[in-house]
Amino acid sequence: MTADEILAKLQASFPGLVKSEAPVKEYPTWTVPAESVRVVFERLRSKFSFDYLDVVTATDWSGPINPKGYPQSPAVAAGAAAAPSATAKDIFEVVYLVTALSTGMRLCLRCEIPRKEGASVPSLYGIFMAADWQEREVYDMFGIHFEGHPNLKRILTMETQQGYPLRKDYEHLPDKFD
Amino acid sequence: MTKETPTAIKADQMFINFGPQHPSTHGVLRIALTVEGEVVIKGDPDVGFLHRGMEKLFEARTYSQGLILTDRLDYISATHNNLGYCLAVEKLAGIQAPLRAQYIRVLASELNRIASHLVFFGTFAVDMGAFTPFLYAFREREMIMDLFEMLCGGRLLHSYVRVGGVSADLPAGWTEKCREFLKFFKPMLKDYDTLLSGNPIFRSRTGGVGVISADRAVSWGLSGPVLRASGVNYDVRKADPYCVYAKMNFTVPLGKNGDCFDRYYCRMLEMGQSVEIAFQCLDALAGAELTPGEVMAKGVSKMLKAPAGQAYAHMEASRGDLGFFAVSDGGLNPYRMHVRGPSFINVAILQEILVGCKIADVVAILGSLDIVLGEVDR
Amino acid sequence: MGIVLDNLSKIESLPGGGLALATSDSLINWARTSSVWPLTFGLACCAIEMMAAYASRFDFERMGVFPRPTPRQADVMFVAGTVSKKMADPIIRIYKQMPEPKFVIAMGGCANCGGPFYDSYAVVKGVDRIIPVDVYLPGCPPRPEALMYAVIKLQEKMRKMTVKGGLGATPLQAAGSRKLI
Repeated sequence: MTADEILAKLQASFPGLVKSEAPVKEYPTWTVPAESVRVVFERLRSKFSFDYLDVVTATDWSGPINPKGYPQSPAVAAGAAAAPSATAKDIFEVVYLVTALSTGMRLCLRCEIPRKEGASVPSLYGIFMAADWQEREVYDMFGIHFEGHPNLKRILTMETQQGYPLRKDYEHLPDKFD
Repeated sequence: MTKETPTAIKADQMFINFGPQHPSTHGVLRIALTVEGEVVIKGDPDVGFLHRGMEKLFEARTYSQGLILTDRLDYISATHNNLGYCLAVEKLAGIQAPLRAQYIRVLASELNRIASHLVFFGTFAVDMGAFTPFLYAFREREMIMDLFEMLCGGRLLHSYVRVGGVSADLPAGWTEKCREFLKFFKPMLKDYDTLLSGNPIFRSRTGGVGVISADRAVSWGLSGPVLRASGVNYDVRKADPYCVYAKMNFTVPLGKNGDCFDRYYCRMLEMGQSVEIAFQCLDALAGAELTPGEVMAKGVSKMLKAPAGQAYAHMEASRGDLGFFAVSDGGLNPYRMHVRGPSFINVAILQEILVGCKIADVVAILGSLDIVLGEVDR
Repeated sequence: MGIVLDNLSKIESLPGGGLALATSDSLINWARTSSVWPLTFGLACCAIEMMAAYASRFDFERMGVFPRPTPRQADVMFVAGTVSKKMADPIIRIYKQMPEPKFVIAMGGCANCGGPFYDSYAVVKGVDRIIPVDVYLPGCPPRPEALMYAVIKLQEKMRKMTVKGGLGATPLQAAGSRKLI
């Protein structure tokens, strides 16, 4: 079964699920609305044997990096952080990569959510255990909440960390070590 | 350090703080253990003690500057990280590395795989109380370090694989040295078996300990030898071949029980396969169809500008499925670079498999996962 | 005895040995320099080169450098790798657990000044911001030979120590830097 056939079957139940305009290279890429993330993955796992969750990550599309996010001025190439890029949008994009180990088919699913405090998507905890720490990492780095995750707390940074480092507007506040 | 005190601890239970400074945590991992006598009730891994904010730093570096950060992710197998990064950037920018460079990449990454598994072999044995294998493993590892030093000048962190190819062609006399080493190393694998694999103490400390079933391994997203020891046949080199792995003739060793011993033995068998692949690469490199010196794609500038888009490339590193998710907005820097560190995902399963094991087995289980904290914390 | 001391003078031969005179400084410093016991404590990449230094080819033990797994038995701490902010407090704690006199070798660019992570929000730019450092060893990572050279430099420093200087600390150490933490 090709990715398009799976998409057609899923679209019958989830009309919000569409093909992405700018796909991840060499991956069938779909955009999924936030509210149906969990059910779509449940269906993909149970009906289409997508049993291996590769990656959960996110991108902040709000524009170029903020040099204040670095304690010392970073080695940004000249002109890189100047003008806001044409791609700037006020959204977080949560990216999932999933594989069916039996067939070797790979999929990329994207979920665009408005960029605000307390932005949230449903957690995949329980469907894929691999989501456990990866979602905690995304929460740590972007402050995106995963509803239904039983242990959503910071994982890599300190508890005293201010702000979410991978957000483009992150500003580093000097602490006792700087 | 987290100052959490266990709240729901009963009178006959005890809280043990394992790490971050502990010789057998292989770096700076901390595990908060709750034990009842000898039995672990709860094990909660605490990571981030080596968090260096690399994904943020990638956004402030050009593509070629970012390469040196990848060395420091999984520092025991630096070439794999370089290769994974370059594959992602090349996919993003639409660059194709010359065939000769691809053979050299495969050769270098298999040598690095041997070096990495040797570190595992040595340190795992030390964890189990045997010191001698460490000395043997590092003796052979130094020979590989010498080979890398000839290649690129670096012992541990290579930055040999570059975007578009490799930094230089093989130096004169290198292939002979490499063959010499591989011929020396192949029989050594049998020696390791006699030294450690058959040792009754080692067998009883690793056999049946920390068993991971196949479906749990898949659900937790494990990869590499940890996944294959549970009998799941998933190796990126076979499942999604990159470089010239499709032309290579090798088998993927699989385990049956998914215990610590199988994880150990999978790696030992993998080293044998790496030797085979390295020989095939050396034969191909000696062939006439690959022009010497042609190891860099044409027109790859140091100030590389990738067109706007997203790409994900993954490869089989020593510890598993290493992936780089690169996003470009058309500028000089990656807009976003995410690293799927196999160690990060492999170590998460500790919270499940530590429950119910004996406290002495914690070291065995942790050692058999073979994590590198640089990649866990990034 | 196979001891070679700088200012040892043999004054009388006796049956089964001899009578020798030495200053307590040179005797203590001889003992101290020939048993530099480091803590088995690796942070990042440099720890692998540190392991290589203990292993077959380089054999650190012939210099009396023998790794100890607990800070209570260690004389010197090799800060081998990047010091993250999360790890800073444990490092200070480990340092405080070591008995005096204690020494620190900052191994590699990260421990010296932050190295390639100089602009990271999560990295302490040099371990000397949290604990006093005796020898700075550049490199990313330094080779095992370089680590040996750092230990030789540390031994040179140790030879200059006197019993009068408090717990064996050099005047500079006794004066200040230790109070920083």
